[in-house]
Amino acid sequence: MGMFDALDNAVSGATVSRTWMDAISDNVANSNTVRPAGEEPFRAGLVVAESVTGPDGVGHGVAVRGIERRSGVAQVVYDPDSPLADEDGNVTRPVVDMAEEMTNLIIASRGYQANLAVMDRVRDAYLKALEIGRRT
Amino acid sequence: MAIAPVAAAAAARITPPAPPTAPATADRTSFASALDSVARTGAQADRLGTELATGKLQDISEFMAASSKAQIAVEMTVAVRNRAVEAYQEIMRMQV
Repeated sequence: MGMFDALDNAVSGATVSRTWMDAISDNVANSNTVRPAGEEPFRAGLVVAESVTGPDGVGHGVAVRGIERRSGVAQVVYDPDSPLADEDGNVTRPVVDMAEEMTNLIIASRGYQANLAVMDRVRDAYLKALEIGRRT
Repeated sequence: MAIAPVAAAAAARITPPAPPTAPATADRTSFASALDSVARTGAQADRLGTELATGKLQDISEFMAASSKAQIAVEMTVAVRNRAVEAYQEIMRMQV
Protein backbone atom coordinates (compact mmCIF):
# COMPACT_ATOMS: atom_id res chain seq x y z
CA MET A 1 0.00 0.00 0.00
CA GLY A 2 1.14 3.51 -0.67
CA MET A 3 0.14 4.56 2.84
CA PHE A 4 3.06 2.65 4.32
CA ASP A 5 5.70 4.71 2.46
CA ALA A 6 6.53 6.64 5.63
CA LEU A 7 7.32 3.37 7.43
CA ASP A 8 9.43 2.13 4.51
CA ASN A 9 11.46 5.34 4.41
CA ALA A 10 12.10 5.12 8.14
CA VAL A 11 13.22 1.49 7.77
CA SER A 12 15.66 2.45 5.01
CA GLY A 13 17.09 5.23 7.20
CA ALA A 14 17.48 2.84 10.14
CA THR A 15 19.21 0.28 7.89
CA VAL A 16 21.71 2.86 6.62
CA SER A 17 22.40 4.03 10.20
CA ARG A 18 22.93 0.41 11.23
CA THR A 19 25.38 -0.12 8.34
CA TRP A 20 27.23 3.00 9.45
CA MET A 21 27.44 1.70 13.02
CA ASP A 22 28.75 -1.63 11.67
CA ALA A 23 31.49 0.20 9.74
CA ILE A 24 32.39 2.35 12.76
CA SER A 25 32.66 -0.70 15.02
CA ASP A 26 34.91 -2.36 12.43
CA ASN A 27 37.14 0.72 12.37
CA VAL A 28 37.36 0.92 16.15
CA ALA A 29 38.08 -2.82 16.42
CA ASN A 30 40.95 -2.39 13.95
CA SER A 31 42.33 0.79 15.47
CA ASN A 32 45.49 -1.03 16.56
CA THR A 33 45.98 -3.36 13.61
CA VAL A 34 49.55 -2.74 12.53
CA ARG A 35 50.88 -4.20 9.33
CA PRO A 36 54.41 -4.70 7.95
CA ALA A 37 56.06 -1.50 6.74
CA GLY A 38 55.77 -1.96 2.97
CA GLU A 39 52.12 -3.07 2.96
CA GLU A 40 48.94 -1.07 2.53
CA PRO A 41 47.68 -0.15 6.04
CA PHE A 42 44.20 -0.76 7.38
CA ARG A 43 42.09 2.18 6.30
CA ALA A 44 38.90 3.19 8.09
CA GLY A 45 35.69 2.50 6.17
CA LEU A 46 33.32 5.36 5.38
CA VAL A 47 29.76 4.51 4.35
CA VAL A 48 28.49 6.42 1.31
CA ALA A 49 24.71 6.86 1.42
CA GLU A 50 22.57 7.92 -1.50
CA SER A 51 19.02 9.24 -1.45
CA VAL A 52 16.46 7.23 -3.44
CA THR A 53 14.09 9.31 -5.56
CA GLY A 54 11.13 7.93 -7.47
CA PRO A 55 10.30 8.90 -11.06
CA ASP A 56 7.75 11.46 -9.87
CA GLY A 57 10.30 13.28 -7.73
CA VAL A 58 8.98 11.90 -4.46
CA GLY A 59 11.71 10.69 -2.12
CA HIS A 60 11.77 7.06 -1.10
CA GLY A 61 14.37 6.98 1.62
CA VAL A 62 18.06 6.24 1.44
CA ALA A 63 20.33 3.41 0.36
CA VAL A 64 23.97 2.52 0.89
CA ARG A 65 25.91 3.09 -2.31
CA GLY A 66 29.16 1.64 -1.06
CA ILE A 67 31.95 1.79 1.47
CA GLU A 68 34.94 3.97 0.69
CA ARG A 69 38.23 3.74 2.47
CA ARG A 70 39.85 6.75 4.08
CA SER A 71 42.66 8.22 2.09
CA GLY A 72 45.64 9.67 3.87
CA VAL A 73 49.27 9.17 4.50
CA ALA A 74 49.96 6.06 6.56
CA GLN A 75 52.10 6.51 9.62
CA VAL A 76 55.23 4.36 9.70
CA VAL A 77 56.38 3.80 13.27
CA TYR A 78 59.62 2.39 14.61
CA ASP A 79 58.69 -0.63 16.75
CA PRO A 80 61.37 -3.34 16.58
CA ASP A 81 59.68 -5.54 19.22
CA SER A 82 56.60 -6.08 17.07
CA PRO A 83 56.48 -9.51 15.37
CA LEU A 84 55.51 -7.77 12.12
CA ALA A 85 58.47 -5.40 12.04
CA ASP A 86 60.77 -5.60 9.03
CA GLU A 87 64.58 -5.51 9.25
CA ASP A 88 64.54 -1.75 10.01
CA GLY A 89 62.02 -2.31 12.82
CA ASN A 90 59.24 -0.33 11.14
CA VAL A 91 55.54 -1.10 11.13
CA THR A 92 52.60 0.73 9.51
CA ARG A 93 49.90 2.12 11.78
CA PRO A 94 46.26 1.97 10.62
CA VAL A 95 44.57 5.06 9.23
CA VAL A 96 41.87 5.39 11.90
CA ASP A 97 41.01 8.60 13.74
CA MET A 98 39.53 7.51 17.06
CA ALA A 99 38.00 10.91 17.90
CA GLU A 100 36.23 11.05 14.55
CA GLU A 101 34.99 7.47 14.89
CA MET A 102 33.51 8.07 18.35
CA THR A 103 31.81 11.28 17.18
CA ASN A 104 30.40 9.47 14.14
CA LEU A 105 29.17 6.69 16.43
CA ILE A 106 27.11 9.19 18.43
CA ILE A 107 25.69 10.67 15.21
CA ALA A 108 24.88 7.24 13.76
CA SER A 109 23.18 5.96 16.90
CA ARG A 110 21.11 9.15 17.21
CA GLY A 111 20.15 8.82 13.57
CA TYR A 112 19.02 5.23 14.18
CA GLN A 113 16.94 6.30 17.19
CA ALA A 114 15.44 9.20 15.22
CA ASN A 115 14.28 6.82 12.48
CA LEU A 116 12.76 4.53 15.09
CA ALA A 117 10.92 7.52 16.59
CA VAL A 118 9.52 8.32 13.13
CA MET A 119 8.25 4.74 12.81
CA ASP A 120 6.62 4.95 16.23
CA ARG A 121 4.86 8.27 15.58
CA VAL A 122 3.62 7.22 12.14
CA ARG A 123 2.17 3.99 13.54
CA ASP A 124 0.42 5.89 16.36
CA ALA A 125 -0.96 8.41 13.87
CA TYR A 126 -2.46 5.73 11.62
CA LEU A 127 -3.97 3.84 14.55
CA LYS A 128 -5.53 7.10 15.77
CA ALA A 129 -7.06 7.66 12.34
CA LEU A 130 -8.91 4.35 12.69
CA GLU A 131 -10.67 5.74 15.77
CA ILE A 132 -12.54 8.42 13.81
CA GLY A 133 -16.25 8.06 14.50
CA ARG A 134 -15.86 5.31 17.07
CA ARG A 135 -18.78 5.56 19.47
CA THR A 136 -17.64 3.54 22.50
CA MET B 1 -69.68 -9.19 -9.11
CA ALA B 2 -67.10 -11.32 -7.51
CA ILE B 3 -64.56 -9.52 -5.42
CA ALA B 4 -61.13 -10.70 -6.22
CA PRO B 5 -59.18 -11.64 -3.09
CA VAL B 6 -56.72 -8.97 -1.99
CA ALA B 7 -53.79 -11.28 -1.80
CA ALA B 8 -53.83 -12.28 -5.47
CA ALA B 9 -54.30 -8.72 -6.81
CA ALA B 10 -51.74 -7.22 -4.48
CA ALA B 11 -49.21 -9.91 -5.23
CA ALA B 12 -49.67 -9.31 -8.97
CA ARG B 13 -48.91 -5.57 -8.65
CA ILE B 14 -45.99 -5.68 -6.24
CA THR B 15 -42.86 -6.84 -7.93
CA PRO B 16 -39.88 -7.68 -5.82
CA PRO B 17 -36.93 -5.28 -6.27
CA ALA B 18 -34.24 -6.43 -8.63
CA PRO B 19 -31.29 -7.79 -6.65
CA PRO B 20 -28.30 -5.40 -6.86
CA THR B 21 -25.89 -7.44 -8.95
CA ALA B 22 -23.25 -5.00 -10.22
CA PRO B 23 -22.58 -3.05 -6.97
CA ALA B 24 -22.46 -6.25 -4.91
CA THR B 25 -19.81 -7.87 -7.09
CA ALA B 26 -17.78 -4.63 -7.17
CA ASP B 27 -17.82 -4.44 -3.37
CA ARG B 28 -16.87 -8.08 -3.12
CA THR B 29 -13.83 -7.81 -5.38
CA SER B 30 -12.50 -4.65 -3.71
CA PHE B 31 -13.11 -6.15 -0.27
CA ALA B 32 -11.50 -9.42 -1.33
CA SER B 33 -8.46 -7.60 -2.67
CA ALA B 34 -8.24 -5.62 0.58
CA LEU B 35 -8.32 -8.89 2.53
CA ASP B 36 -5.59 -10.24 0.25
CA SER B 37 -3.32 -7.30 1.00
CA VAL B 38 -3.99 -7.70 4.74
CA ALA B 39 -3.09 -11.39 4.49
CA ARG B 40 0.09 -10.46 2.60
CA THR B 41 1.25 -8.03 5.29
CA GLY B 42 0.52 -10.68 7.92
CA ALA B 43 2.49 -13.31 5.99
CA GLN B 44 5.41 -10.89 5.58
CA ALA B 45 5.43 -10.17 9.33
CA ASP B 46 5.38 -13.92 10.07
CA ARG B 47 8.26 -14.58 7.67
CA LEU B 48 10.39 -11.84 9.20
CA GLY B 49 9.53 -13.11 12.71
CA THR B 50 10.81 -16.57 11.76
CA GLU B 51 14.00 -15.04 10.34
CA LEU B 52 14.49 -13.09 13.55
CA ALA B 53 14.01 -16.22 15.68
CA THR B 54 16.48 -18.25 13.57
CA GLY B 55 19.03 -15.44 13.58
CA LYS B 56 19.01 -14.72 9.85
CA LEU B 57 17.49 -11.26 10.07
CA GLN B 58 19.95 -8.44 9.58
CA ASP B 59 17.85 -5.52 10.72
CA ILE B 60 15.41 -5.76 13.61
CA SER B 61 13.73 -2.51 12.59
CA GLU B 62 12.53 -4.26 9.41
CA PHE B 63 10.65 -6.80 11.51
CA MET B 64 9.17 -4.08 13.76
CA ALA B 65 7.99 -2.11 10.71
CA ALA B 66 6.41 -5.21 9.14
CA SER B 67 4.58 -6.12 12.35
CA SER B 68 3.36 -2.50 12.64
CA LYS B 69 2.04 -2.67 9.07
CA ALA B 70 0.28 -5.96 9.83
CA GLN B 71 -1.26 -4.51 12.98
CA ILE B 72 -2.52 -1.41 11.14
CA ALA B 73 -3.92 -3.54 8.29
CA VAL B 74 -5.79 -5.87 10.64
CA GLU B 75 -7.22 -3.01 12.71
CA MET B 76 -8.27 -1.27 9.50
CA THR B 77 -10.14 -4.39 8.36
CA VAL B 78 -11.87 -4.64 11.74
CA ALA B 79 -12.82 -0.95 11.57
CA VAL B 80 -14.27 -1.39 8.06
CA ARG B 81 -16.31 -4.36 9.24
CA ASN B 82 -17.55 -2.41 12.28
CA ARG B 83 -18.60 0.54 10.12
CA ALA B 84 -20.46 -1.71 7.70
CA VAL B 85 -22.28 -3.46 10.54
CA GLU B 86 -23.15 -0.13 12.17
CA ALA B 87 -24.53 1.24 8.91
CA TYR B 88 -26.59 -1.93 8.39
CA GLN B 89 -27.98 -1.75 11.89
CA GLU B 90 -28.80 1.94 11.46
CA ILE B 91 -30.81 1.15 8.33
CA MET B 92 -32.57 -1.79 9.98
CA ARG B 93 -33.59 0.47 12.87
CA MET B 94 -35.54 2.74 10.51
CA GLN B 95 -39.32 2.62 11.11
CA VAL B 96 -41.03 1.49 7.96
